[in-house]
Amino acid sequence: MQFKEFDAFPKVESGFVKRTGSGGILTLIVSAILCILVMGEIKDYMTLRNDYNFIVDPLVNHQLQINLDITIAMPCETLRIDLRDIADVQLGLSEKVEKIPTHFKVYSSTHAEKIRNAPLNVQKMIRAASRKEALDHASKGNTDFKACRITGSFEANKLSGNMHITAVGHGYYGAHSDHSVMNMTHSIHELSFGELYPAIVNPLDDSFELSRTSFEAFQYFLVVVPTIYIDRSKKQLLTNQYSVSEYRRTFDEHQGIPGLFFKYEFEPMTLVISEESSMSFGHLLVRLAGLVGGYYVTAGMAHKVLSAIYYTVRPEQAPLRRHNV
Amino acid sequence: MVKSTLNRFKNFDAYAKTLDDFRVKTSTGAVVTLVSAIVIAVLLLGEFFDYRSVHTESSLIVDGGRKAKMAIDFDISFPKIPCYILTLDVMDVAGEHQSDISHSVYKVQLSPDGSEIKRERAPNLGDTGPDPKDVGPDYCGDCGGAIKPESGCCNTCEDVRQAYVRSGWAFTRPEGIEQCVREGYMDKMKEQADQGCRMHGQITVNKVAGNFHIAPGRSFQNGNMHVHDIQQYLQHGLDFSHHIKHLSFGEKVPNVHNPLDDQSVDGAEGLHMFQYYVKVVGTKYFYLNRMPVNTNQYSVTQFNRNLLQKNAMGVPMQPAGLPGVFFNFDISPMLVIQKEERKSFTSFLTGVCAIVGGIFTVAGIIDGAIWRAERTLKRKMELGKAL
Repeated sequence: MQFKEFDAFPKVESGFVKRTGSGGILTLIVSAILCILVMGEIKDYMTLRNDYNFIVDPLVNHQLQINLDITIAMPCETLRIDLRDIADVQLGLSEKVEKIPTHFKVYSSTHAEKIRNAPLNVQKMIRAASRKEALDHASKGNTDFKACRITGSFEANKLSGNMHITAVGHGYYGAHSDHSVMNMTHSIHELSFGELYPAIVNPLDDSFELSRTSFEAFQYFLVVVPTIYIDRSKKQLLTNQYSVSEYRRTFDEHQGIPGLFFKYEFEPMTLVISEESSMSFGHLLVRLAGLVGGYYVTAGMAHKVLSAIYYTVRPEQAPLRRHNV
Repeated sequence: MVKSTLNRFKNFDAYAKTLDDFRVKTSTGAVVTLVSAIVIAVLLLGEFFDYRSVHTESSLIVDGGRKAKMAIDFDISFPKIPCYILTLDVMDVAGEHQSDISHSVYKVQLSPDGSEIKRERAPNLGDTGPDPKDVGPDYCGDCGGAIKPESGCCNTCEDVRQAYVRSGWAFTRPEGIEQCVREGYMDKMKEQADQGCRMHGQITVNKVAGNFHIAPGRSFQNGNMHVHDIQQYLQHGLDFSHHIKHLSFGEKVPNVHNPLDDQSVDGAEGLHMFQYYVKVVGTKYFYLNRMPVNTNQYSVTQFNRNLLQKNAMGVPMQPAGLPGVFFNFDISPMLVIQKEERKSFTSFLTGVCAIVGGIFTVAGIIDGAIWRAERTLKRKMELGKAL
């Protein structure tokens, strides 16, 4: 027995086969369709999708940076900022952040809104993290300004906590602030957890709240979810997302403490968002083989059936058959 | 003419046919063809159903949205408690009344056998104002010696009752009070004594943690406290058996099951405090051919506790809590995304072709093998004969 015998594709000499024009046209059409489909398949292979995974935070955590940039329509000397966490560590933050007298300014939220509504693109996200936007300190120094910009980054325990900005003398000890200057109208330019990436848009960034009375408290409940972004080239970005629910209330004097309260807690889960192609290269090859083989054979069969029908309808066109005697 | 154009394409023909002379048809070939046709039919059917069926892809992201509203739909029946006793309150996270709430809540009186008698839209939730009925414009009712409200007048039975509560008195003899007699308070009580109540409707709240509860007695705000007047029910207790026909936090979407639907608690004599701790998870559902829907799913933990404790003398002690049914809801930071998906038409076509082509090719190989084996066998047998 010869090795040749294993050939599952015995070939027929061209003398023994008959080529027809309709078969030629069919081959061209099938090839065209196949080209389109193969291209579609390759495009599918090239498109990325985001894969969401959860892992339990494997690190022993200690400290976490909180970044803040808020403008409040009150003079700087009447404001204080404090942080208190569940370990009951109280942190007077007034020294750790910068208080800059300024004009009250509402940041345009169009850009942030656009990014928020766009579908997540991990690569863009990682690129945004490497972009540093300079904070504008243009209006620094003039004490006549009636608003105060509180900005800075500081380390806090990675525990549930409550960061709050209150008027001096309301809630904590200190010289009593006059009610006429108290107004908790504020705009938040940046509030984020972890390393500062100014170009990444967080839910509260560029938001604005107007208060019409001296006694109003704004409560923000934040749940922080540590997130790792991994793009196609395996570049990683560790940051934190958060969700906000908020609640404001007005009250009469002595019935509450006016201020901004940010109550935050951490999710024990870390979200891993990785960019992946929707199929492996092997899978692509299998699909391409199935595609090409399948269409080729099926079109051939269709051709056979159609020409059989054609020749039954018009027998005079049929090729002559020699009858075996 | 047509013929000659066709002939020009001849050389492209990848489907060159073997001339009939050189083809052999066998009966095993026919059997293989038939079997493969059946297999193809079955597989095609499967492929077709797979193409038509819609499957949902779900993922979980951090909810970055702000200032969302949440609609709470509920339908709860209390077979043992008449409607006039029950009130519904919505509280925010700090335990205060939520003020800016739109609602449409209905109370339906139920007869003892459970059929509906009368339905009315519940007035404002919680605090009830004085009811300027058929009394003169400068009427000022007497409060029966109890502490007067700010207006100095007790114009309704309700006002008198609240004045009593403010003074810490028990409101046990409404038949001696002019305002109550005029309003037919006792008749109402007697008439409804063995009735039940069904409360249903919708309230829209801000999407922050909070609670809503259905509890006996008028509620009012006393300074910073939310107070229910339950003095009169302490002695005998109330049967807070209830049936939750429906409770949802948003529009119904496929694959979402509300765990509290059709849950009931029976035989809750005494003074029970039913607590439902509800964790609400935002859900965005993408339909195949409709606008996406924002809704919520929830999980729930329930427990209850009997507040009616009597001391050795049989006198009820002050309860450490409020009887009633409480739904405390908390909002999860995660958002579930569910996306309906269907295979594309081209991928369906590819599947069909792969099945047809693949099976026929494999069948052809098998057929060829059988034919060859047969031929070899025959030849061997002939040789054997010759030997």
